[in-house]
Amino acid sequence: MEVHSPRDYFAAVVANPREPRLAGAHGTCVFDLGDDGVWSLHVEDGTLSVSQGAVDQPTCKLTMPAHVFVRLARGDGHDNLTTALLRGAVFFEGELRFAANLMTIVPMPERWSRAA
Amino acid sequence: MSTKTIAILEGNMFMVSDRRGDVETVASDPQGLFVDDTRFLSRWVLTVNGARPAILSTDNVQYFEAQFFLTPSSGTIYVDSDLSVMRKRTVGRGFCESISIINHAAKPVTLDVAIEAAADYADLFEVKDVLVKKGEHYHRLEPGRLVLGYRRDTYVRETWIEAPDAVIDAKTLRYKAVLPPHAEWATTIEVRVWTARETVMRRTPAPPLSADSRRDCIDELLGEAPEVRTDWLPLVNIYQRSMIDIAALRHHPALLPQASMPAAGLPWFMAVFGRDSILTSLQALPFQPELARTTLQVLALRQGKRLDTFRDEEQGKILHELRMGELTAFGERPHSPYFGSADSTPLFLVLLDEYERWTGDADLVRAVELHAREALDWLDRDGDRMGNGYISYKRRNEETGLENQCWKDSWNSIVFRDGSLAKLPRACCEIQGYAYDAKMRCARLARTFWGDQELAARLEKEAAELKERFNRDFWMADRDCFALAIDGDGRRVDSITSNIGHLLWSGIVDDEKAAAVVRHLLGEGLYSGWGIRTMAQGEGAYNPIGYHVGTVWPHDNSLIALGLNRYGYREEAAQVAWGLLEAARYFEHRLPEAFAGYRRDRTNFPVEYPTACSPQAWAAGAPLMFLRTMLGLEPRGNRLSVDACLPPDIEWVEIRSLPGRWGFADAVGRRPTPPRAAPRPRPAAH
Repeated sequence: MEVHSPRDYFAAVVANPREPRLAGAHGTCVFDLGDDGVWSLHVEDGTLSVSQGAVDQPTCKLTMPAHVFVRLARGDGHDNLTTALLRGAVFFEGELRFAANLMTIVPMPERWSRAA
Repeated sequence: MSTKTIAILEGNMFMVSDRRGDVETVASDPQGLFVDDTRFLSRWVLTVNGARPAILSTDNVQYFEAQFFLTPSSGTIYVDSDLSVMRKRTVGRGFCESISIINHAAKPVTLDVAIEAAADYADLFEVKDVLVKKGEHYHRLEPGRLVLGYRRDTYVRETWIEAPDAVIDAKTLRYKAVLPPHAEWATTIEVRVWTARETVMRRTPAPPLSADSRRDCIDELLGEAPEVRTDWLPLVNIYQRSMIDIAALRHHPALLPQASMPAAGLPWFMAVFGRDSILTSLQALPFQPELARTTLQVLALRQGKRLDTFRDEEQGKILHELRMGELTAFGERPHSPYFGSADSTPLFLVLLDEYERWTGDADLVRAVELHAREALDWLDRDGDRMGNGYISYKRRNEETGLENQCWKDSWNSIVFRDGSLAKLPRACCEIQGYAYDAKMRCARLARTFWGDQELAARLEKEAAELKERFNRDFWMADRDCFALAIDGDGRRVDSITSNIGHLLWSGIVDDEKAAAVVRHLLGEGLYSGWGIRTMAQGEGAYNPIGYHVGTVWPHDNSLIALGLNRYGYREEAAQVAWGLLEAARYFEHRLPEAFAGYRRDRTNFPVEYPTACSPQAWAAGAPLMFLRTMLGLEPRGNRLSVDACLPPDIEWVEIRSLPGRWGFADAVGRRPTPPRAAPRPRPAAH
């Protein structure tokens, strides 16, 4: 499966709800993608789920245009959360430590593509 | 750093200037104010009445604070200057400089004081490689403030120079005053920096930290640190210098901003390095265990998650280096983070076990169990590039990746006795030792904390097999020594190097081979009189001023000394420690990253290596490990065991309040009193 839009990525999350390498992590990251909507990604001890819209008091919030998110989800141009933050392409609020966990699934793991 | 420059630092910020306090950068010269691997000031030049004052005296007051005493040159030795100029500066979250001028004359003086300022926003890699910027520079004049900036797409960095009393233009802060007889004029300039944090968190730059608050922090740090007392007084100075340098090199990682871990060294390596942070944390463990905790947490969070050729990333691998400059931000360098080291992963596991042994922090061992298991998997999977059961490396990123991914990472370090380069992939001997040690230690962790007897038994079996194979495959009977490496053609790389000392530290050496290793380490080839060289004199590539092929590295020696102790060569361990501690006296009690490998009796003092980083974290950590070795400090269950063997010139050493799982403990070591000589028999009467 290839990611062409935020919706593609979050569909892949829903299709791959178990991520053992996020065992022990708990929290919610809100992705504010402007015109492409707001998504909340929940992590509960290795189990992932997604809801549309924001939640109150997320663990962290990332704000960026949809095209930046897609680039991140695909890992285009060697992009990852670190490079996007260093470039100022993403605004950030909350716990950076929790956001670091997300680097396990952003860019999207290759095995998710294979699973689809 | 060069003796021609003055450097002050705080975390990931440092300022390097000439000895009068000016910054005038030329290509490839690391002078300026650097934050997060980016130069925020590349010119900072003081003039008084149109001329640059001459130097009277310069002093690093603290690691974050320097002062410069200057005077305008009168042009002749026969005329005294009537003005004194003092510059005092600090770094910490920003940069602050106070300038004061005293008129010693009996008549008024008209002053025209100017600071020329510029910022090139060079990435540290650009400073090293002299690259051309791709974005645009700009400036803005605001009331009492000059803003220098750089923009490339969304990447923005700014330097806010706050000078409320100055007349400001795009390049200069200017002050005009008439100074009455015997009066003083003074001003203060604050520099705030707009980094990635300010952009992504949408906040304005904070003012610099006050020097007073940090002086209090140092007093607190030294007050809380274990106290060293001894009859050999330089040791106290060396110890305190080490503790302060390690404090200076603390990096506050973005992931755990309230905690700190060691950065590698000034000026090129003020960043998180897997290997350096791990080894410095290990060295400092008996004195500052909290560094190890942060190091383990941050490296676990940043552990490799996927196969990524660009970053040399593999699942479970521990990072090599994390950078924050422009080239990294735009994917033009792979350091976000870069994973090009083959030894960080086993060393991470070694540190995890050692940390628990000293602190009893079982919670952390449980919290990172998954990371430790992934690291163990990496040792046997991606770590084994040649499929021969040994960890080896060959970069995946052929363009900007590191060729040598062991601690001796310069291009010419892994060579045969005749000086020719070993073919890649390369399986360096010390990394096999680390892997053996990592498996043995993780067996203990699996059994004690992870409740996995099966894993424990498997790791012990694998470690035993590795030890047996290693002692067979790496042993060079003709040289009575272990090979430096096995290369891509399966050949033993036959140079005699200090790497063999790390094997003792790891415990992989068969007992019957240890004596031969020790003979090499303390023999004329490797031992210079000051310390053990990286490569033995007489080898084809040996060069006493070659970075990894003949210089003496203090951290290398500290691990070797611990290894000698492990195998019972305690007098030899004390000899190695003593040589380095004596050398430290010639470097103002601060061991540099490396120094030349000339024979001691040839130079009488240790000769500097020209581009050595100083302070450097694992060099600063070396004296701490020597103290541990000389006193024979080892955790045994919930108590601290002490079994000292001191060098002949030290009678006693005492360390008070060593923290650990026992709470706090004191350790005392004394040289045994020599047995009283038996009365000489009287000569027979004739």
